[in-house]
Amino acid sequence: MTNGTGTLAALGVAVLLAVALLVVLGPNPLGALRAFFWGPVSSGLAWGNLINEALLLTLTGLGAALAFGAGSFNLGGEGQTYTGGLASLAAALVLPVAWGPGGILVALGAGAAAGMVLGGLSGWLKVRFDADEMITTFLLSASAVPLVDAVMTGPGLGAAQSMLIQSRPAPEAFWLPGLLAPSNLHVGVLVALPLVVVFGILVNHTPWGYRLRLMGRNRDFARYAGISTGLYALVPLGLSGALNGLAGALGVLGTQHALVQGFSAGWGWNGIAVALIARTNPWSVLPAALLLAFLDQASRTVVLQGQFPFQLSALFQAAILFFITARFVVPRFLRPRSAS
Amino acid sequence: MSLPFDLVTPLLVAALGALWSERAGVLNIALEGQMLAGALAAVLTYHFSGNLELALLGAVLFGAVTGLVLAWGSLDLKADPFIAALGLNLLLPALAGWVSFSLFGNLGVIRLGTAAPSWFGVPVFFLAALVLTAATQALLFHTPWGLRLRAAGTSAPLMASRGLGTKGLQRQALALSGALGALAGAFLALTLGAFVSGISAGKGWIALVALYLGMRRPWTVASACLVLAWTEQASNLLQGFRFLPPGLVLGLPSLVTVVVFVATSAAQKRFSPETAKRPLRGRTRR
Repeated sequence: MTNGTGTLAALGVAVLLAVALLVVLGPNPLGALRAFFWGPVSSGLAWGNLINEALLLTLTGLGAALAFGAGSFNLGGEGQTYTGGLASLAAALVLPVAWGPGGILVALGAGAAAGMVLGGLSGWLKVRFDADEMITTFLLSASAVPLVDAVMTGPGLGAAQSMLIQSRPAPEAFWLPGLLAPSNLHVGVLVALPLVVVFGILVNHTPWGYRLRLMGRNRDFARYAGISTGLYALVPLGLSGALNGLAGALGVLGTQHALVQGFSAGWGWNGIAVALIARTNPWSVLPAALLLAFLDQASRTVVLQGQFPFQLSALFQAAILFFITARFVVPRFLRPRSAS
Repeated sequence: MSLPFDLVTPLLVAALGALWSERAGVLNIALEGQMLAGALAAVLTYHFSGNLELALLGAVLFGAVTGLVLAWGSLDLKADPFIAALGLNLLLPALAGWVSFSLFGNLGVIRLGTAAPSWFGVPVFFLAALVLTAATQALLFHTPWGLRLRAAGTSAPLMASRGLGTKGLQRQALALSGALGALAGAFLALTLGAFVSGISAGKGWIALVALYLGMRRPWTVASACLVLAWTEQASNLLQGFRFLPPGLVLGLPSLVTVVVFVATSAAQKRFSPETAKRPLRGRTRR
């Protein structure tokens, strides 16, 4: 669904846009450019935050890539990460502290399960009732976010006193050990690396993955070939939700240690951009996530250092999504949409 | 239950925008962003001119431009229309925040203190939405242009065999769709008398639900909007009950919309065998 020219153009436009805005609008163009390109790699702290975000985006990007690869749109990443965070926190508060590392695994599993339920629900609605997953994933996610906000400060989870809108912290026994302190990085996000390998092999080198890709390319043909189109519509959406939920859980147990309002905002949309840059190939998700994490950290740095008045991240996401599937070389006749 | 005019109007106008694009075969899912942009465009124009008609015109023109941008991406650059529209959906709120911040020093609220005009107690904006529905019905189903536009959506090869291109028609449909989306946002903001960040609050997506719920015909879409507006009104009434958590109430409109949407899809699957036999439709890879 994407090709090389579109990917290059999208990234080129995004970076050029950033440079142009920094030069034109920044109070100090040179300082702004320096902060933008050097900031994200200038210290151990910056590296830690960069790697942490890249690995989280690898997870949400893998999720989006699986769904896109199978021809399903999962637009519910925002709600799935957030709900995953809530589920892992709830598990961490309920489980006996004596469980230690085992409890961490259970809490992470709870986060993934919550995301899987939310994503899988849309897949099931698609298969059972032919309800368009692009709309149900988005609307379910849109209704989940305010619900999580409400539960977070409600009875049982609410913090006694805090400046932020957040829940009670998880017990310290369930915190994932940090790396490169005081950055956001922790050991938990490293799980993204083996997962890339697992899904890379699964999607590219197994019959299951072949059928999945066939679903994405041509559903009529997949059905003709005897592939259970229902199953291959349901499972990728469920897995996609699970990976998003896991990302949310890692954010809670590894970095925030509590559920903080809006802590995962943007992870879902960024995951979609990552999946498209990677052209839905799991192997390419890691470099794509690194690139997007760099752009995001860079735009945070220029704001933090007072070199620029507002966040550029949304502009990157927008430019990348707008141009990434574009074809700049051989124009073809636009094909008609199949009946509907 | 009284007619929830202020809830129906923006939803209906946006749903008409969705209808035009869907009928031309290029469903516009950027309506959410276009509503927000239209709201800001209208509020800014009103702020500087003090003229209501000019404010509406400003929103319509800006909306048409965003529609043309989407057309450029999806028709000329051959980008996936859904992905390009998602990009636009992320771009427009960011731009709105930036404009609002540079002009007013905040990302949120711009107050106007206008009163939307009404005619014998019925908001003029609501009447305008009905006129637009009638106009859509007339143009789309009773003019040669409307027939061609629908043909561009369903039978491009036929169009080609008659020596007619589809691109121009689809471009017109997307421009119109963007204009209507922005107008919906303008109605929303001018009725409220303010621009608030996040003012569209998912209405651009709910408009897509109304489109399918209304089986893609103008007057049935209008009826669907009424049903959805009633559910929203009902969930607004629930806010009065103290014992309900506020998150539940805020999430309720989307949740109820999902339920309605799934029920419609199920009914359509059951009662139209043609759709039921169709394999699950994939979106990607054009």
